[in-house]
Amino acid sequence: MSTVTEARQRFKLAGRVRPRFWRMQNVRRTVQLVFLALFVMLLAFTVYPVRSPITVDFFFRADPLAVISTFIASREVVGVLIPLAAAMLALTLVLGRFFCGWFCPMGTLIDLSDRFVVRRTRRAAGAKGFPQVKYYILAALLVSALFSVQVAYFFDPFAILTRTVVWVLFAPMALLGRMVTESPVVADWVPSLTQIPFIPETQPHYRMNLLAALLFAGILALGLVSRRFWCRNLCPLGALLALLSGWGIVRRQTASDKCIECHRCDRECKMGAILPDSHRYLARECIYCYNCVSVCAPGATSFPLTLRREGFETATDLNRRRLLGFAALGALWAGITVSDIGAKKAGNSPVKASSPFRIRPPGSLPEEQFLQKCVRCSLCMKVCPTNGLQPALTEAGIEGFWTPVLVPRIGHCAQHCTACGDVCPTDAIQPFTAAEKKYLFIGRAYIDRSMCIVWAQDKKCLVCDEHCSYRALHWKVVDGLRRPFVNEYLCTGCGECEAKCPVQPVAAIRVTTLGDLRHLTREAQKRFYERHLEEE
Amino acid sequence: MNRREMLQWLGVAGMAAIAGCSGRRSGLPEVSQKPLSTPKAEHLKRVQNIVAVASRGNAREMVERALRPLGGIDKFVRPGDTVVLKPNAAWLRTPEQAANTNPEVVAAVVELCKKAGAKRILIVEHTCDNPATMCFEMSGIRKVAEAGGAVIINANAEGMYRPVNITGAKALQQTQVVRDVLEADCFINLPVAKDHSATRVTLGLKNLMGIIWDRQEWHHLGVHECIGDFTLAVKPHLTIIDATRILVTKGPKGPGEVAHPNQIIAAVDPVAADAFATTLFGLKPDDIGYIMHAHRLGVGEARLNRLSITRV
Repeated sequence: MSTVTEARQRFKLAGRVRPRFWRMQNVRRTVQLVFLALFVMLLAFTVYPVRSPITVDFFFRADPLAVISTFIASREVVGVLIPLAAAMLALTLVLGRFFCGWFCPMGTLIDLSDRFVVRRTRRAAGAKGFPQVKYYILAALLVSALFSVQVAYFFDPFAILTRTVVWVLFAPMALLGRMVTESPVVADWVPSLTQIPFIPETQPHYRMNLLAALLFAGILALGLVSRRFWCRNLCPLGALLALLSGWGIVRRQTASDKCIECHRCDRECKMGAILPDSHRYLARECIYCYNCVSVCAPGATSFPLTLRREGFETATDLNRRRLLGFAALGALWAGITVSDIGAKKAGNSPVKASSPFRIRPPGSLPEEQFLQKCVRCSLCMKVCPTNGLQPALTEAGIEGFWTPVLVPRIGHCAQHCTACGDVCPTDAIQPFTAAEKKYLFIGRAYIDRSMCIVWAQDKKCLVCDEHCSYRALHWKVVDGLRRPFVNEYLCTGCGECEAKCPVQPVAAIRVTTLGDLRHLTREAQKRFYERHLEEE
Repeated sequence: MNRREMLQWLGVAGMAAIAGCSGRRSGLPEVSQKPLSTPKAEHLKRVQNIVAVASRGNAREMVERALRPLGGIDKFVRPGDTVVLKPNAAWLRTPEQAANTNPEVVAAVVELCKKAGAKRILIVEHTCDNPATMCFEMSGIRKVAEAGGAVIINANAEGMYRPVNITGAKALQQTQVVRDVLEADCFINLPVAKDHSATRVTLGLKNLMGIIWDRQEWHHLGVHECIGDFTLAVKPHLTIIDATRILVTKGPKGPGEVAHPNQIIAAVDPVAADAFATTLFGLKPDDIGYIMHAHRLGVGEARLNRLSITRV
């Protein structure tokens, strides 16, 4: 006892011990920042044409939650998604839940925000939050996936982060970048600067940006309650990894002879993983941030490689009733949101949940499989050079919330571009070549003659015909004027005519899902396309 | 004043500045094209009714020969000048598809301007297709610009435009024009001759739709009238029509049939150049609304018998 008192005295005199820089905490911070930088860099590289040293969907491939929920929902295993996700799971089995502490850029941002933006609250030791809830959320997501409805996107940290960066931050960053590179001074001085590929040439805008911003701000604001509140209590990916992290070989240990019972470690633990006695900890909650080592003045805490089986808890304390309740909630969600397609399959249903303007990117799977596969990562929206791919609001029903739809008035599907198929991590948009695009039918344009200034006002205009990349528009002289017509075998629904139509604010030529041939194989679509030859 | 107060003040001042700057620019005084220097203007008057047609050899030789009757490039480009070229690079099409100006012709003009001592050569285009960078890439224009030391101005942001009033216009009272065009010492129009679904053919005057911001409005106001009216406000000092290969069907974008007249037509009077170029398609100037409209406004001469057509 006397040694403890002495140690306490020494500690008080020494104030905060300044350890060496090369302590694990700083190594961890460096690694975190490297991965955050990589995350942002890969998003910057997600531009058309896609040329990236590392595949731009790296983080989604390394995201076991997104991968598993896609596999379950689509009842299909995509080979390319296995290696990284499996590696993450294996590493978690061996090392524990380091993913959240070292790798996850969302966690890194939450750390930064907890430290510099949100004022850290000094919680009384023991207020550990409610870590069970994340398991319940995970259960709900997986049950929903069992019913083929993907909701993981709403809680998946990488999807949240990508959405936030792309929808919210990308536009202002691009604006700033273009203000610099397009200012006359810079343009004359270093003309090559105007060619920077990371700055898109059309100012991007995403229509859900405010909602995405608020959701993310909310997650950061939860730091007011406790540090890493999201990771502790809500993150289903964290829950998945926590389930696998009871058997790691790196273990926290405290030397009882050195410990002075100051309890700084359990106050400083980001995850609230250290039990009040400072010696025992929750193995599933620890993310190996090494803060407890850094604050331990006597140096009692360490993380040795060990197979010892004491000093930690692996219990999750799940409440069976709640778990079943959340699982039922997942099933209910799946039942409620299942789209018109599901409803149609279930019976002869008149339900039409999605709108006639639910235009999908070319190469997209048939709607039902598409919805099962799409993880709403929004990479396709980031990469779309015309900014025409936008998060769906109601176009695709509730199940299709935030999936990509083409909004031709914002931007059309550019003729030679294959970018969305190139970047889609789950192949909800199957890769395609530029040559194939002429028969990847995603919709069809129709002319609203009551609005068309040629048909309704006898003015000279054939802008739709001028711009059509596929020669799907042609003119015939009707009442002495050249007036536009659409050829159904050539129109792919790319929306270029709608984008350029001079009629405002609603175009007189519009693309609808009529003529969307995604339910056919590419071969069959090609045969459909070839019918135009017979016409001529 | 402590730091916090200062930051608050700076924040408020910054927001006010941003709010002040973000208003529509309708209050700006409208601008007009930079007037020519006296000797240049006098020379242009002298060769006003000449239409030079070169039709032998490669693009470079033809461009050079077509400029001879007009006094050579030195009469248009003085040492230290800023030259703006307006080729057609509007479409995602390859040079062989003849929807854009032949890059060899552009290269030849860039080279001549460099020789004449131009300080800056800008290639301005507000493309029809997107992404614009792809248009410059596919059309081959970016490559020749880089090789010749010209700068491409991708005019796809409204901030690059200035409002121009048009006095005496029939349909178009005001429109926004690329600033660099208005400030150029020499503005050279480099259209490609093509079939066009809406206006029958597209030539020099029609090509100027690539230096204005709101093309959609022109279709509402009447596209032929607007093209004609616009020449009252902004005139190219030299028009060089690329007819090395022309798109004769399914214009302006194609792909359609390509013919090879292998000609270069050069003139100071934009209306005269277009009027002669209609004959490439077996048409008469009277067939094309915008040429006749510009002629009636007195911008130029569309009657072929009043022009001195010089074949070189």
